[in-house]
Amino acid sequence: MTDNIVKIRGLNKTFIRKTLITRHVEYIYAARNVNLDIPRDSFYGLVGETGSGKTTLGKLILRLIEPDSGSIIFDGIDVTRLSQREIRRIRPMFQVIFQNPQSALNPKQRVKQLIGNPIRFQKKLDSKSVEKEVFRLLDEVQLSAEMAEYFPHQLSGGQIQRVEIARALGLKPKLLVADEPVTSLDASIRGHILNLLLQLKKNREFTVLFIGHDLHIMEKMCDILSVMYKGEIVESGSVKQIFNAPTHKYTKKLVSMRYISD
Amino acid sequence: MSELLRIEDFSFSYRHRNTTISILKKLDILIFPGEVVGLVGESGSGKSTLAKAILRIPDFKYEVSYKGSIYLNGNDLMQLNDTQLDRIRGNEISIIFQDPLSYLNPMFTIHRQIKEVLKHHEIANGIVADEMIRRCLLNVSFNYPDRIMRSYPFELSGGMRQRIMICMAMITRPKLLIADEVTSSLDALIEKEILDNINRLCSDYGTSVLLISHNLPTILKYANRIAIIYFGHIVEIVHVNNAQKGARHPYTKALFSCALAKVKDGVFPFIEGSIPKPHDVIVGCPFHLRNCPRAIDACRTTLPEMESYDEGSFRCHNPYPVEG
Ligand SMILES: Nc1ncnc2c1ncn2[C@@H]1O[C@H](COP(=O)(O)OP(=O)(O)OP(=O)(O)O)[C@@H](O)[C@H]1O
Ligand SMILES: Nc1ncnc2c1ncn2[C@@H]1O[C@H](COP(=O)(O)OP(=O)(O)OP(=O)(O)O)[C@@H](O)[C@H]1O
Ligand code: SF4
Ligand SMILES: [Mg+2]
Ligand SMILES: [Mg+2]
Repeated sequence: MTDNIVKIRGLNKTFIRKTLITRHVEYIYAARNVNLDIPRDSFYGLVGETGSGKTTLGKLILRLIEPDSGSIIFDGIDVTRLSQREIRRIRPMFQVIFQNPQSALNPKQRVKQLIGNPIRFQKKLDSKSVEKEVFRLLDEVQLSAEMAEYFPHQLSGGQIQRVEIARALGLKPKLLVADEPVTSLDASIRGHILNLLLQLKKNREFTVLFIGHDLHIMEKMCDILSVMYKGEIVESGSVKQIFNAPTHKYTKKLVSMRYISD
Repeated sequence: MSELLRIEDFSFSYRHRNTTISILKKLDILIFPGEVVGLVGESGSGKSTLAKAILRIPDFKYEVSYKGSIYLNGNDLMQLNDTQLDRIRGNEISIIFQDPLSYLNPMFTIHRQIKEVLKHHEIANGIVADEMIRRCLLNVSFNYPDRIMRSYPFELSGGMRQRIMICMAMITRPKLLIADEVTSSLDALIEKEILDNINRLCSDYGTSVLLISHNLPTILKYANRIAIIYFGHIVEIVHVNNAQKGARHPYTKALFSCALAKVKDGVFPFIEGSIPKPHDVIVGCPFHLRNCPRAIDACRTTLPEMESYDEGSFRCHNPYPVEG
C-alpha cells in the first residue's frame, strides 16, 4: 500500500454570485467531487485550463478557503475538521507559493521581514539566527543580500516571485503547494529554482503539488499528473501515460500543442 | 519605411541616499509600424522599467531622472508634460502590466473598468461601449462575456485577469502595444489564441508590439526582431530568423541555450553566478563577471560599444563569428 501524504475525497466548492440588479444567481463550480491521492515524497503535477479550479484546489488543501463538503486527510489528520487555531499549529508543515505574490506579500514589510518573521514566529529562533537563515534563503534563490532591505514595490516581477519562494521554503514544509512558481523567471533562473526543488526532494521529506501550464517543465518535474477541467479532475496518471495516450478532449488538444512548439 | 518609435540614447536612473542608481543605460531601439519586437533578458535586468519609462509612469518612490529621447512618430515624448502624455497613455500607446491585480480597481466590476477607459479617451459611451466591450472580451477568449463583465477582479483566476488587462489595452486600438509577460500564466492553447488575436490587430490596424516575455519559443514565434537586455544594457538586437543560430553575443547564446536545451541527468541548464545588483558600478562588460566563455582582456576594462552588421547589432568585444 502506498503512503499518501494527502488524501482527498468528494471535495466540493461552489462560488455563488448574486447580481443585485437582475437578482440573477450564478454558480461557479470550482471543485466538483474531487478525489486525489498525493503519494509522500512525490512531485504531483496539476494542469488545466485557466479558471478550471487549480488555485482553488490548492487553497482548499491548505484550508485557506473552506470547502462545501468532502474530506482532506493530511498525514492522517482530517484538516476539514480542525479549528482555525489547530490549523495554525500545523501550518508550518504545509506552505504555498502563491500565484500572484505581488498581492500576497505585505507591501509594508521589507524582504527580511517577509522571509524572517514566519521563521522567527514558528521556530522561535533569536534574531541573529533568523537573519542568517534569511541570507541563506536569499542566496538559494539567487537574490543578493542587499535585497533584504527592499520593499516589494522595489522589486521586479521575478525578484518578488523568488522572495515568495524563499518565504515558503523557509519553514521547511513537508508539503509545498507551488502555484505557477516559475512563470515570471527567465530560463536561467527558472532552471536554477527547479534544480533547487529537485535537490530538496533528494535531501529530505518533501512533497510538492506543482501547479503549472508549461508541459515541458511538468514532464521533467512531476511523477504524476492530474488534469482539471471545469472544477473536475478529468484524468490522472503517470506523466508518460498522459502524454502518450491522453483521453480527455482538453488534454488531447494541450498535448498536441506540445509537439507543434517543439 | 520610417519608424513608429525611436528610443535614442535613453537612460533611466534614480537617486537613493545620495547615490545614483542606473537601471537603464543608453538604450537605442527602433520599432517600425506593424512590427513585433521581442524584449528578453534576465529577471531584474530592466524590462518592466523600460516598459513604464516609455510612458513615464513613475512608480519609483525616489527622485528619478530620464535622459535621451523617445520619439513617437517624430515627436519626443520626453518633451511632453504630464497632461499631454496622458492623452497618449492608454490611447496611442497601451501597456499591459506584469501584475494585473495592482492595476485593476478592486471596487469596480470589470464592465465599469473597461468602460472608464473608453470614456476617458472619448471613444464610446452607453450601449455602443457595452457592445465594444463584449466583442473585445470574446476576442481574448472569454466565451461568456456577460458573466465576466459582472465580476470583480478578486472573483477571477490569475489567467482571467491577465486577459482582462489585454482587453483593456487593445480596446483603444493603440499604435503601440507594450505587453509585459501577458501570457505567462496561460496554457499553450489560450496563449496561442490571444497572441494570434494581437497579431491580427497588428496586421489589421498596423499596431506595433513590444512583447516582453521569458517564454522564448513564444518570442521566436511572434516577434520580427528580438532585443536582448542584460543589466540595463541592450546587448544585442537580432532578426528572428537569425536568432537561434546567428546570435553574436555570448549572453544571448547562453540564455537561448538555457531556454531551448534539453534537461540533462535531471538537471535544468542555467548560467553560473547571478546578475549584478542595481547599485553595483561595473567596469568593463558586465557579462565578464558571469565567466563569459569568450572574455578577453579588454572585457575587464572597457564597456564595448554597440556595433551593427547586416543582420542586427551587438555590444561585445569578442562576439561569436557569423555562421556559414
Ligand atoms: N473568491 C472568488 N469568488 C468567486 N469566484 C471565484 C473566486 N475565486 C475563484 N473564483 C472562480 O472560480 C474558478 C476557478 O478559479 P481558480 O483561480 O481556481 O482557477 P485556476 O485553475 O487557478 O486558473 P488560472 O490558471 O487562470 O490561475 C474561476 O471561474 C474563478 O472565476
Ligand atoms: N520602484 C523601484 N524602486 C527601486 N528599485 C526598483 C524599483 N522597481 C524596480 N527596481 C529595480 O530595478 C531593476 C529592474 O527591474 P525591472 O522590474 O525593470 O526588471 P525586469 O527586467 O522587468 O525583471 P522581471 O523579469 O523579473 O520582471 C531591479 O533590480 C529592481 O530591483
Ligand atoms: S564583451 Fe567580453 S565579457 Fe562581454 S560578452 Fe563580449 S566577450 Fe563576453
Ligand atoms: Mg490559478
Ligand atoms: Mg518585469
